[in-house]
Amino acid sequence: MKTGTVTAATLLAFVLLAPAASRAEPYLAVRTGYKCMVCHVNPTGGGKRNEFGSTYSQTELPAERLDLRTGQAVPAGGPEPESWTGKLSDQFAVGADLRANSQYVAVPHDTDTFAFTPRAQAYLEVKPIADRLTVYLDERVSPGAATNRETYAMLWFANRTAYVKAGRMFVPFGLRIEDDSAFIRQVTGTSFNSSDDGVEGGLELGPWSAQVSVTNGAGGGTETNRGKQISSLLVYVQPDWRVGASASTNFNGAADRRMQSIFAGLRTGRISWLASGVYITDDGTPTGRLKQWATLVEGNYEAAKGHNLKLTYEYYDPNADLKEDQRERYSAVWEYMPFQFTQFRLGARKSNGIPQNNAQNATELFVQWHAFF
Amino acid sequence: MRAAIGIVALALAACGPGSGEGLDQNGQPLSSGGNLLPPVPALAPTLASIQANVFSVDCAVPGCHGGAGAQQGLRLDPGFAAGNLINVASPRDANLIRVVPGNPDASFIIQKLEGTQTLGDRMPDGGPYLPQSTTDVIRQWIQDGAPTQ
Repeated sequence: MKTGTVTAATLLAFVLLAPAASRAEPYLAVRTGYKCMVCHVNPTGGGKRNEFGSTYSQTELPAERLDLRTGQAVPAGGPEPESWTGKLSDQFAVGADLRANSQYVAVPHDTDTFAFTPRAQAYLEVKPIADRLTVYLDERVSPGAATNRETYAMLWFANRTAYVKAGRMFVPFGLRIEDDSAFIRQVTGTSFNSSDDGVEGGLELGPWSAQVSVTNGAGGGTETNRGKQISSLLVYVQPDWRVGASASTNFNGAADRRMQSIFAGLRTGRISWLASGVYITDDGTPTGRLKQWATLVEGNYEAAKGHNLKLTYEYYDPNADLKEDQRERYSAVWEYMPFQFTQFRLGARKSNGIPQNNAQNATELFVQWHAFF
Repeated sequence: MRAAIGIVALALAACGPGSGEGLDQNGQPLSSGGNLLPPVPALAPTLASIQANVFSVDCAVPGCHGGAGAQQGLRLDPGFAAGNLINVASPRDANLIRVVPGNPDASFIIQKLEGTQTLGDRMPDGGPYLPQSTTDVIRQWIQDGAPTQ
């Protein structure tokens, strides 16, 4: 049997083994063989795209390109249209992500809900000294009152192979997929909703990326003791595959949390695979030491330019010392980018948990319009 | 490559959700976590009373909502509860407001305490849980506008 047949059969098996999602961007890094810093201002990924990342998203991702001045499609073989990267000057650049989400959730033995849940971030990048000093701001402007996600100064040195940044940031840990509701994000608390205050140092040497951060460990809240969270991330990147490992400890003298993560990416033809596992131990809980772990396996099939089918399987054991409490989640998401700055997502997620907990067995359908630059 | 894919497929097929046997609604053993905390007779619908009798006793403990490493940034030590609760969204879902003054039903904290939440587990995590009489007082505090004095 050909490899393509095997992979297609595996994808089909994902769907058939149980009812079926998620949205993520690291698959693009796996597909291209790039490091996160190639396309993002933040070397650990997420947030504002840099000039290259923005140009890439306009030239390589959409099904077709529109002329930015006329709004008309550019014919194949025609002159290369302009790109707009949010660059205002050599020192200033802006960016934004708007996700207009409509979501239907069905919970067994409960009332179904349908809601519009828009989310938006605005980014400002200031470079007083080119390739050396960056001041970065990432503000969530919707829903509700504006909240700061990241604000830091970052200084590059040693010919842009090393940097240090200080301020508010997402701690470097594990696979930074976009779906904050994924078990590996939710359980570790390392999501786009949980930045922290501190410092981070990083090295970008050839295929290696390494980061270490020391932060308050208070999730951006007020710090009142000397305990700190130390997080680290190490990734080895090759054109067709990558592996990474991460560790974090958060101690405050009375309760400690330790987390470990391993993850990998692999490209096989049109499919980009992601896999990750996290293991967490909490000491000092009311019931003693709590051990939990979660995994994710995801395949991203580039059906055609501008189209991506994402199938995800997740597993979560909330207490390794208890039997029969495990949970899982299947996801299927079709992502369509018709032209620059615009992406549509259509997705379904099915969660399976213990039968006596209705919320753990919810089914979710969503449609999302993602506008970004 | 084929072997790797086959292994992944088999591994997925071998997984599955727990049966829930011997567990309560929140996945805790029935013998240890299915019970309720005793009522607090002197509890009043004020932040000071709730802080002293509920938050400080049952929530602001190490590893949970006490200290600098409080779960979800929700520190409930004295002096921190109001600032982390009232009109503050859950970091896991910005649409879930922890305390909506005047509207206990829309307050995420009530959903978490009563076990009607659609995100995460019922609190206190693993039980024993607050009796309805205690939750009703917290409801009343929120209904009164969640005053901090």
